[in-house]
Amino acid sequence: MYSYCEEYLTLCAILTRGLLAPMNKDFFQQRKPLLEILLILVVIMGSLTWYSFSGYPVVFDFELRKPSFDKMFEREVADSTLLAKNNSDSSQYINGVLDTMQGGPTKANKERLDAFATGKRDSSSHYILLTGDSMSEGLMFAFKKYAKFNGHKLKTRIWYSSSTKAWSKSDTLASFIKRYRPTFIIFTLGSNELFKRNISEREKYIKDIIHEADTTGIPFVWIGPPNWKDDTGINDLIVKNVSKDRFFESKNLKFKRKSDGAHPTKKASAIWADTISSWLTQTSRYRGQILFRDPKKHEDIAAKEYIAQNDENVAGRNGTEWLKVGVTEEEKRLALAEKAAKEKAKRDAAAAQNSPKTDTSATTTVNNNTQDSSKNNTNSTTTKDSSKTSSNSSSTTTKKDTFTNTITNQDSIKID
Amino acid sequence: MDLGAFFSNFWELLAYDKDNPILFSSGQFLLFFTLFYAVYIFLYDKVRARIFYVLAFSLFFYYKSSGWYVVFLGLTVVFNYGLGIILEDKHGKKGTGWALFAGVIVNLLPLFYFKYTNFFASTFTAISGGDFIAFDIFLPIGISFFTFQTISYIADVYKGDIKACRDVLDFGFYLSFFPQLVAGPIVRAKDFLPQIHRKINFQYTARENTEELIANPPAETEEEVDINRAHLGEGLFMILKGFVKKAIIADYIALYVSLIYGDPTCIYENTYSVGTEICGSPMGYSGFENLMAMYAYTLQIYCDFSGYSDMAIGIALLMGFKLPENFRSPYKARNITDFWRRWHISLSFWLRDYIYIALGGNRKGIFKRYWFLMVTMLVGGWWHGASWKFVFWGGMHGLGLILHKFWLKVTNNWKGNVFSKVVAWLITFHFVAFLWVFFRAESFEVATISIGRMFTDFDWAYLAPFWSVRQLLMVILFIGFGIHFIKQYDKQRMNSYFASMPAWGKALVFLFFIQLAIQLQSADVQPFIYFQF
Repeated sequence: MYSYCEEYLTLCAILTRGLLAPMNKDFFQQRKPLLEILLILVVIMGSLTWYSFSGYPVVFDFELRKPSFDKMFEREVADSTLLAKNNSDSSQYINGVLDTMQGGPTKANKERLDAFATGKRDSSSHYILLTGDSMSEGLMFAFKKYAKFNGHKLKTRIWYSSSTKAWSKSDTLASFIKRYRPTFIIFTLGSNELFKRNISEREKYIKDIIHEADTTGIPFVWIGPPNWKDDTGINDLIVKNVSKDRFFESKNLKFKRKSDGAHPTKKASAIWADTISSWLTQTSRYRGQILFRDPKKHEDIAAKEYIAQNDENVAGRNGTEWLKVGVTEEEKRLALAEKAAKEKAKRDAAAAQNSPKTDTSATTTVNNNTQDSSKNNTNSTTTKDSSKTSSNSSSTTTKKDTFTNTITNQDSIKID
Repeated sequence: MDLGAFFSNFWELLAYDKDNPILFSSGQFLLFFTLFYAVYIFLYDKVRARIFYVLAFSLFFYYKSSGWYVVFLGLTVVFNYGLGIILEDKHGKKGTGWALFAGVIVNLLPLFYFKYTNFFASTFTAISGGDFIAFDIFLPIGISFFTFQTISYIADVYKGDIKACRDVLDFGFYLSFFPQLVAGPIVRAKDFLPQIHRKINFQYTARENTEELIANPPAETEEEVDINRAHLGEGLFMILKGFVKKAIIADYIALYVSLIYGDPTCIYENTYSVGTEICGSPMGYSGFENLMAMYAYTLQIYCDFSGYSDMAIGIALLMGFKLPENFRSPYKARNITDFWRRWHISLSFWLRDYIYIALGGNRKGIFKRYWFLMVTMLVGGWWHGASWKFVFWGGMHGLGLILHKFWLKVTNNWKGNVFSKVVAWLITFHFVAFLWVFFRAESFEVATISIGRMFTDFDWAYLAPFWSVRQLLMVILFIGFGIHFIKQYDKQRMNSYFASMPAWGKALVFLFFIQLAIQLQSADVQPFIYFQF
């Protein structure tokens, strides 16, 4: 064994000497200028890689952006599974509720629904103004599909690299409102001020922008910037002034970014838009005031039937309820439990002579514009207010109460 | 730090990505070139190993640019290598001319197919009436360049100007040499083939002689070339210069130009319930903004093109190879003839040697001379792009050349005074700049709209608000044009100063400009108050 190792080591030494033999002093002297070039390249690569990994970006009054060499050491960043999960929860629930409903759409409702689905405008459609900084560009691609599916018109105006200061000083929002007369405003701003020092100075500009919108009475929501690093306070300033139920906080969401490391990719923006729409229709102050269904999830007939049933009582586009969908978590659990019980009962009835009857009926009635939830007259419980939920964020799985909706209809909906 | 992820990502990086072809100004090229150079250092003095290694890397580089079209490149190498031998062996014999003709046609056929199929089809349907649907043909990157290289090679062999290359690896090395493969300069075989087997002596000399060393090109004979530290520093400076032009100036200016003329890849949408227009349009901007777009594009195309050429020349120099100069401050030209001696020099000389002179040049009378000039420039225009607007662009340059020749004849080669030189420069610069609008605009109509607005809707009142919202753009334009007009002597001094810096100094300068490019990558050019969709 020892002799074998000795022979092996001797062989290695011979090979190494053979390889390194040419590499004497002259060898390196000859290559000195080339080695200097290589050293420069390695220093450049090393510096860029080191800065990619550094925890904190170098910040003056602007951020010294980092190269993306650190991405080489990451598995592919998936689009936020949090968003996808939350959206699928939402659609699962709606499908679950739909399954338990009785009745079918009337002919009139069907026609109306078809009109919505094909994007033909009628008096219930909104004229949405999507405006702000360059982050709205990615949202635009997704929202235009939403607009088309839900029968709205979308106007997009983007002011690249803009800040709250610029918007405030130029009264741009007021001029857009005057020019386009929208009925709903979605506003994105803040990305260019994430690292501003003395951020409190921006509060007056934020107040001014909000004031420009609020004096018109038009529904106004502010989509917060999708932070790629912790900010110096812009998100807190905005939510402080615009209020939580009109502010969609995006800072904790994880996005796949474009090469600039800031703007979400088109696909990531689409998921971002889906989450915003869920928040808008389920949690925000204006839930029920705008139909903003996800076209990907509402194409099945069951969804159409449900929508058709609820559209009968929609009055018009100015502030009246469109559709409020959803119940509290408790109601959701109960409804699904009842459904399961009913199915079990049917199976038992088929198998045995004395199947238990479920005599549960639940009516949910919600008033328009109320913060209180529907009541559920099941065996189990009463429901409580559900609509006061946190203002956003379907971004965190812990906030399950973001999934809260209210069903509005003058007629009761029976859940059997 | 997930090393497993690193190796996995690195493996993926080796694969071709259609959406991210490798560019000299990209991070992935920096990584690959560093690794390449680390091995090259040990191989460069072993000629066969050097040829094989660089050829392998060049083919890999082309694969990263165009995917499996690298096979097409290989076939081109083999075909022209064989044809060159045949032309030399059959030199002077009957039928050799037809062999050359056939060779040229065979070389042009793929170019016609990949680049001009849609052009011919759209023209045919426009004439015959009907709807044209473009074929989905992916163009191999650099096909226009290496096709012209192969044609120049077989023509030179036929004329007896050079000997045919008898080693397929050498010929492959020449044709696929990665610094010049995808965007030129178009290298002549007689200039490059002798360099392949040459011994390269890298010398480390004292810094004090840098200026003098740079002023003198590398000492070279047929057998060997001496490249010292100063020349390598010059190579680095060329790379830096090219990077600044391409990744900083050109890419930033492109943002503004795209606002006016539209993103060439965008889709115009205007649906019923959405009302969204994505592409820019000159109609939406004032005459002043259209004029600024013209100046901006004039600088952009120069920086983009010459920047890439500079990087190619610099990279080749780091490896001990010399590529010809491709741009020589073209916007300093005072007449269109001088412009074409300074702009894309390798192309204009190719057109001169293989089309203009081949047709007859100035040997067949004045009117035929003008006709040959026009044909040459029409071909040159068409080479740039498969569209009638490029043909128009080439034709207008041809007309400019003809008018200049005529002017010289009429004025008996009058040299002029200072005032006339200034006027001549202004006319030449604006002639070229206005024609660039046709180059960039989506169509002939859009170009005429843009130029029309410069005259019908021009107002100096737009200057102040333009400056207030687009300061960075104005600064970059000022710096870009300012650098362009720096004297050659001063440029040489900057070059030698950089070359004499220590290694850490050079690295710092590179890092500064790379970081600047990263910063501007995410910057947006402020539209005039807002960008309309």
